[in-house]
Amino acid sequence: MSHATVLEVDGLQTEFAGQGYVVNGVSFTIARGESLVLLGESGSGKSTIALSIMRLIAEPAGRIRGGRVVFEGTDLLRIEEQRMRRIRGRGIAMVFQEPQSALNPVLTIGTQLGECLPAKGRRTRGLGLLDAVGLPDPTWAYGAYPHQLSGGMRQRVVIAMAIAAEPGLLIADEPTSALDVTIQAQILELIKAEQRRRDMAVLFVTHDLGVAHLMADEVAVLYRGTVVEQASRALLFANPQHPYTRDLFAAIPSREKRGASLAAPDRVYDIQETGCCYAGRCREVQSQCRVCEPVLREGSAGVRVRCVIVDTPRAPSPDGVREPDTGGDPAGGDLLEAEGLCVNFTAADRIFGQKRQIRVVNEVSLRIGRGRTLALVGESGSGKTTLGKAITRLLPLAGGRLRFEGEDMTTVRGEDLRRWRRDIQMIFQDPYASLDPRMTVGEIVAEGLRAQRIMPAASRFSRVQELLRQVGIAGGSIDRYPHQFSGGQRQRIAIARALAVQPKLIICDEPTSALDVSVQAQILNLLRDLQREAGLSYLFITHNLALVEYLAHDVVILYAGRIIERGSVDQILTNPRHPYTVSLFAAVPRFDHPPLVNVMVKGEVPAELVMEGCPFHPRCGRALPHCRYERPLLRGFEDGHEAACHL
Amino acid sequence: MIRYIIRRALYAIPILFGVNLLTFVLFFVVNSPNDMARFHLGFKRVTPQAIVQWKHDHGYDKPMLFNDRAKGVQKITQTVFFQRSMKLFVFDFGRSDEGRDIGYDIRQRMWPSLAIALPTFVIGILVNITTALFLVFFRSTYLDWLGRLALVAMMSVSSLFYIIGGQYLFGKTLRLVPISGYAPGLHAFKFVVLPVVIGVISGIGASGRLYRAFFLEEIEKDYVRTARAKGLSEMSVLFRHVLKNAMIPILTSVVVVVPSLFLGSLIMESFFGIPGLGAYTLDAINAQDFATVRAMVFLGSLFYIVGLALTDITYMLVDPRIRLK
Ligand code: SF4
Ligand code: SF4
Repeated sequence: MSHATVLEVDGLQTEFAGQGYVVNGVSFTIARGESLVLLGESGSGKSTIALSIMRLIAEPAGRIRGGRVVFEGTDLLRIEEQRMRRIRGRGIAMVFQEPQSALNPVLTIGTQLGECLPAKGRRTRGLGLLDAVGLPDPTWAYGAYPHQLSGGMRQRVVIAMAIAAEPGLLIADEPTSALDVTIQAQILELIKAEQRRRDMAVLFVTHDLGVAHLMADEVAVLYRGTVVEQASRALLFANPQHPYTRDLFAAIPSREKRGASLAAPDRVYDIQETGCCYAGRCREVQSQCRVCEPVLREGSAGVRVRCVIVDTPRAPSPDGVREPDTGGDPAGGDLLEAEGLCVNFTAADRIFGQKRQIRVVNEVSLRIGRGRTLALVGESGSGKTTLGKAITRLLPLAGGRLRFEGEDMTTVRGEDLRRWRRDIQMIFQDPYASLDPRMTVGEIVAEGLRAQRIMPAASRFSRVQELLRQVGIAGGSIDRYPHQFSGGQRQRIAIARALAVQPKLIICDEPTSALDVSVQAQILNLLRDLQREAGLSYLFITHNLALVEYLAHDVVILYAGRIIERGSVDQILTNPRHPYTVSLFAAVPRFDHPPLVNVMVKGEVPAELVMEGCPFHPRCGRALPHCRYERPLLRGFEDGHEAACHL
Repeated sequence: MIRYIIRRALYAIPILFGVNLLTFVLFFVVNSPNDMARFHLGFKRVTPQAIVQWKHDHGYDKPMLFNDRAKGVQKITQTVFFQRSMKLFVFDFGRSDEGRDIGYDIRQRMWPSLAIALPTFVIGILVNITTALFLVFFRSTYLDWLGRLALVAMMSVSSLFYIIGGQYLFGKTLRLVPISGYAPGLHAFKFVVLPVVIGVISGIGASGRLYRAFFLEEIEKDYVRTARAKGLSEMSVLFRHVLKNAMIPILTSVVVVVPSLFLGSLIMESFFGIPGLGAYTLDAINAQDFATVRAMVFLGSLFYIVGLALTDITYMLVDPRIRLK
């Protein structure tokens, strides 16, 4: 492999009106056939770097202010638009984050792919590309419109468009963040395979440490527009140097950290005018850090770190304090019992008005113990969110029974239903959407108190303040509005609102999936503390398996609306029985230990429900002949561990 | 599709019935049949007998909505409303209060209306889209800013100003076209040009701005960024990607008026002396000719309902996300 430099970025600065320098002096190089990962949280400027290289910054709001972007010997910032256009797509191609919106909805796949190909032999080459990126039926896909394809398939199409003109450099901006883990694994593998085959340089942008580990030769860690650390993958993951990188690693939930709190910044960042950009959050901040900005210095073995204390030997990042896991006691009794829950979804055609019933949750039974956390794991379309809503009777049940503290709640209505709902609160993925933008934080939190008429108005105010303090929001915020808070703070406000009515169970529907890892760590710590102090139970709906490993006591795995496996977290992690569970855990990219087994799930969840046999059989690598027509029932293995598989 | 059209047609019946009833009630709140008879007979020749005779000849001698003296269903059918308004549902417009065949008049007068309304509509859309595309191509430049200023100015001026100004300039001063009037066949051209031009110009302000907003909304979308990342030129991005998407809201917003083009424009036709349906309606209102007014209101609502159905159908045809669900 030749090591010619393909891209050299030197001192790149990009400014956005109202935000200042979003990229502030970033430099790196990528050689042929190599991949560099830009790793950072939101606001780190990682996507802006990618767009600056393509010169696709939305002007006039954004402007490239300085630096050089040298691609195969040409400084892209100094050529006219005309020439730049010839480099886009042909020299440098790009894959974007949202496969849902990255394709034009009114043009066929063939038309859009064809734009990247010469007119001669367009169709043949287009079909060949679609085949190469793994579309199951290229001829059909060629004439299809984007909405007829699943997210994973669309991302394959975007990749096909990107590699169509054999670019020297591929920029992938969070290409899998919107996809399920099993699909993510397939797409990442595809990008790596194409890179090897074409000897491309790849610039890969991500916030996910596991993905970075899988994709990188070299990693540049970004914080607020500057590279704070850059090293080869092996060195960075073995021995992170910069305090920020170390904090990032410490904030990741994992099985090893169970029972301990995660390292999380307790301060919101205060903008540093001078000195080190991380000084506001840094745990090892020195007096000189606030005065002058540290430079990116070459440390040992080619590691470059922007910190004054580089190469001073230090203890590894402190792990949080471990406390005894109170919820671990299964003898606490069941708080909620659901038996054979079914939920139907009515699909109505907007114009023709035909209606049909689709069963999205099918015969689901589960129990949530007092003070315990039950994780409901599933990918998109598994019915996990629907099930969460059905448990609070926000959606009508088509069958099954619900018991709460031993009492039958399946049919209660009116005042009784309202009283019961006080015991169950929900928090959602997008805290902004669930908070009324026209109400102050105080009103939002007090709303629950008022609606449930639990408290005289006079003592309400002090209760609201107490609740906000409990979730770590300054008491002075009571008169501010949701938009004045960051995503993490809004989630805390949502939690305070839920806590206001002293619930016994909180249903958390992907509460951290829109948040950065360090903010996620704060929220997880908060939820853990609340469980320890108030004995709350959680139903934790998630697709993020690291969270499951870190905080669940019991796990239920859903696939296509049915439970396919359940058990205690140890049983599921150490001895998964169902092939889907096995491949689900294997699909999560890890940096702490290699995957247990290397099984990649084939294909995607079929669009039509599998009516006969095992719902997983079209994708199962171990399917037996009778899996096609005989539906496996849940059967027990060890104590409480059940799986629905014929194996 | 067939089911959809049938369902739409069934929905239309109660709506049309309601519109009919409402026109009927409103008209007779203002005018009683006696007033109408007096008006049509000319005030000098009015005698009680003549009024009774006129009412009998024109079918206004029955009770309005409900006939107490009749039996069974005739309680409903032997009324002015049923006899005169319900026939509209089979497109039997009957005779006007002056004795002319309304159906014949409509068929005659619809062509001059169409001769003006159709070109105004088609050219208008093309001009508005071009204007909007032009502004979007030069977005955030002085050209865009000036263009927007001009559109706001054009929008703020009353359309009467364009009509009178246009007639004065082109008809009177420059003598390029006749000020008003109409001739059938090919001779119509010189009479039609001015109203069409004025119609198009008076529409640019509002629609041009609206379409520009549609385009700008599309241009922010992710697929446009993908298209640029492929190395497409700004022209291909605009014409191949943005235009096709923006046509969806544009088309669906204009289709609703297509059937009503037959009915012409009240203002244009009366100012330019075009013998179309717009002028016809206006004359009927002035002459208190209930039969004609009612027929035109009925057609207006019918065409509007058809237009709404066409909107939905167009939506289905142009948006693959709905067509291929
Ligand atoms: S320079 Fe100082 S404040 Fe910045 S990361 Fe290093 S120790 Fe922390
Ligand atoms: S029942 Fe058969 S198809 Fe289903 S998971 Fe088990 S082995 Fe695979």
